[in-house]
Amino acid sequence: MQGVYDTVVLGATFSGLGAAYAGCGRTLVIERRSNMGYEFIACLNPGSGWNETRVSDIGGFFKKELYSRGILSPDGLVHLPALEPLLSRWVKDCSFSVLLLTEVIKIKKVENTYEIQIYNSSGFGTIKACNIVDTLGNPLLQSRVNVGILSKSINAMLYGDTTQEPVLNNQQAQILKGKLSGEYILKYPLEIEDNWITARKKLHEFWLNRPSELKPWTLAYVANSFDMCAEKGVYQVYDTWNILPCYSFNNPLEALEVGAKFARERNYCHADVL
Amino acid sequence: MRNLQEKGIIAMRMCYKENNRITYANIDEIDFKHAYDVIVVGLGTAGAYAAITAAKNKLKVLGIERLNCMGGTSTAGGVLGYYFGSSGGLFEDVDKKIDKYSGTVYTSSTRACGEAKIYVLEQELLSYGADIFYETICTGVFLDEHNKVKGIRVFHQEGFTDISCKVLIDGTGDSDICEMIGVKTYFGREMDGVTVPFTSVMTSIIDKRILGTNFDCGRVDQRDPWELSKAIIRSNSCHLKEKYTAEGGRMLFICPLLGIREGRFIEGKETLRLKDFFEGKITQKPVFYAYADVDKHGFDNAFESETLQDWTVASNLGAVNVTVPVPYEIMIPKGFLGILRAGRGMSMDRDMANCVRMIRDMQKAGEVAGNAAYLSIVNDCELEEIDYEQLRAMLEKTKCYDAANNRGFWFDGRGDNVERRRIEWLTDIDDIKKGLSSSKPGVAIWSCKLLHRNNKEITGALEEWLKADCENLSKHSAIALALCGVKSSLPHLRQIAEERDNFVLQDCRKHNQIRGVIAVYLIGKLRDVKMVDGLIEFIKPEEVNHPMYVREYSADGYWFNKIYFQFFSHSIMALIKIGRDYKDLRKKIQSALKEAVKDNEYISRITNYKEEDYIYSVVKNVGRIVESEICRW
Repeated sequence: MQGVYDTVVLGATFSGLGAAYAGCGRTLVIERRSNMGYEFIACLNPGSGWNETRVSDIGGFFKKELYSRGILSPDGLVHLPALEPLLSRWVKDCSFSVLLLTEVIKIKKVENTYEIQIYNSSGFGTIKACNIVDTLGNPLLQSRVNVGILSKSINAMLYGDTTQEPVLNNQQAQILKGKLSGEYILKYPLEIEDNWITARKKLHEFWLNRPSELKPWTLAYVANSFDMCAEKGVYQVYDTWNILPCYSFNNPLEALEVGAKFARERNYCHADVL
Repeated sequence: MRNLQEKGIIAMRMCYKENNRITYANIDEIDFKHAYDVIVVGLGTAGAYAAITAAKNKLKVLGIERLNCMGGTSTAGGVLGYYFGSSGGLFEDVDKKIDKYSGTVYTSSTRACGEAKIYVLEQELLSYGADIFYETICTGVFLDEHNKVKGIRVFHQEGFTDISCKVLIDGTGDSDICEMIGVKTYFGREMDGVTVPFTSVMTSIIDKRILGTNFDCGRVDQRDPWELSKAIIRSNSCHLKEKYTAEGGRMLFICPLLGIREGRFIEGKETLRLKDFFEGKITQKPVFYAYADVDKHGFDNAFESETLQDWTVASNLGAVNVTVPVPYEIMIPKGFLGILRAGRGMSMDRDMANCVRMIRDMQKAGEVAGNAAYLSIVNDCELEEIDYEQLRAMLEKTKCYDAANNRGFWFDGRGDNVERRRIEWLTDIDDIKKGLSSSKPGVAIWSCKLLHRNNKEITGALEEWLKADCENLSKHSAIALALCGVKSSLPHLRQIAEERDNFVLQDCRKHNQIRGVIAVYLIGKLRDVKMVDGLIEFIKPEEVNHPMYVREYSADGYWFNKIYFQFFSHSIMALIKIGRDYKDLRKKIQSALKEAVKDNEYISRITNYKEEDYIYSVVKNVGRIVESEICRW
């Protein structure tokens, strides 16, 4: 599974895909999950400030698609699930490569390049790259930079057999509105240390014992990714290995734009080094 | 750190996979951070129940799962309902708990409630004291000098960890763990290596309930991470709509797990084969009964095995449900100790796996594995030495094994256009004649095959009926005769094929076959050299102009000439079979086959679907099959 790339992007997140799109040369996105853009889509984070984000070609393309397909409203409400097929359609036609269901085991810096040990259905393999755009900041891969997670929640799409809006008079959790009629998302806060088992248990218990006015509402879909918030910024592990935390953006357009802008500014194209 | 010899182990190796090759490293010392009785890798449909059963038996159990939830295809894969399978087993109680939360905490589904199942499975396993490592992969397996599993190496958020176990259960979709230690495995169709198409599932809320909608989206070799990644992205992109509204249902999510139906099969201590099953060679020591139709999916029947085509094409019984007694030994990887395989990759041929793969039955397979692990540990014996009666007694308690599930063959589709009834194979000559005279001759045709195989006289009557005035009786007798291998059927089969008989038999609720296509299949099966010229005519471009071939249009303007494809592909395969057996005819056949698929022009006669589409890929595969076959000649 040897491969040589100008840039390897860690995480098929919106910022990672934006960087992959804008980078020149051979680019590979490595993702441990089977889905993309999960920091908004699969974690059911509808984001904020969609219409305030200044967009270039990439963001502009998405924004136009989102409006024309009825996914985003002028007042910034979004039908999140529909982002996934749209993102997939776009990635399918892009020139960069994507390797899903691939774990990054270890990264070793060898002079000006990186040897990235990965694991997937082919077993262990090594990918070489000149640059790393890391949108996940996994502390297992490097100890120089610690990207702090500020908050964490488990979200769920609600369904209610009622015309009433769900109201939660409880500071513990929030209800967010989606674009389509009846589309509401429960955002249930967690401790940073919570894992899937404790998170699901807390959510289940909370909803089992919800106030009577919320009884018509049930959990239609529990997010399969945690909704997290991280400090904004570019964190440098080395000059050519930078972390853009995917959980630090307000909405997918902003994430795409920041990723693309970063790659353009760095002009990631150094294949001759290898 | 413990020296292995202190533990009585002379030599240990760690098996792992690197750059698609199985390799191993000799181990001198090992430090197992944790010790368990049973480790289950892959908490999917079977693995979840293997872990729950073992833990319920008071074993110390660790479940390892790459995703972040249990249930696999039946939860993350969005295949929420049960498609056949037989009732009884531990899952029945778990399902009742799931039902309790459906509509109260979690939104009801038109089938089972996936979110409730994720929660209940997890709580069930934890309630018996088991540990679960989510988002964890198994990267290595430790084996001693007797090929006995001693533990595994996992990679998770803490890095690598080595863990020991007495029994390892491989619950992965693709027998990854068995492959890693060197168990012989099989993958794909003999003809061309392809697998059953995968399904892509999207869920929506429609009429107050969650509904999963799915469609066959293509074929993928999931062992290739690049191909798999492309398949996932393409599959997800297929769900893109022009406009999203709440009318007609609100989209919820695309399932994160691709609906892959077929993976690697292991070579086990015993192997379950469809051919053996049809010949009555079945186990006398079943651990459960699997129950479903031979649900093969895909429409390129011509390239399937003759066992499968005799049943689905020649006898038109593709939608008939069969009951398969499943032996425990198909879970025991041949040549290895301390490991079981539970799930769709158990030791079966792929023909049989079309039937023995449904969710209920795979949950039962998990339950069997969990109990077998228990017996092996408490009786201090190898997994292959456990006592069948003891195992069956445990399975009887939950009705995982239930003799009442030995139901035989059934027309059993819900909402069927065919009467729901048990099939009794015919032995009375008048009953057979009546069946063959009808538009539903399947049972009679297969009964003839069974009688002939058991040396009961039937071919004389069939030859007599070839001359009958009744068209159905005459033609179906020819089909039955051919299935018995009698070549006097050939003139009649040629006639059926040449007149492009487009009568569709009516036996089943789905997949009913065209009589002309059946004839072409049987001509190939009997290697009819006199029909070579006729078959060559079928694959010439002008054949498509015959009025019986009509394009079937989709709502978005794409079309597929399904009947033409069947004649074309079956004729190609019949010629290949004749060419394989008659070297003197190869030049002529080779030339015709080459011409038929030249420059892929034939594809545009069959479909206008886009290159990325599943239908296009299946049609294009015909050309690949021809090229590959010709190369071998």
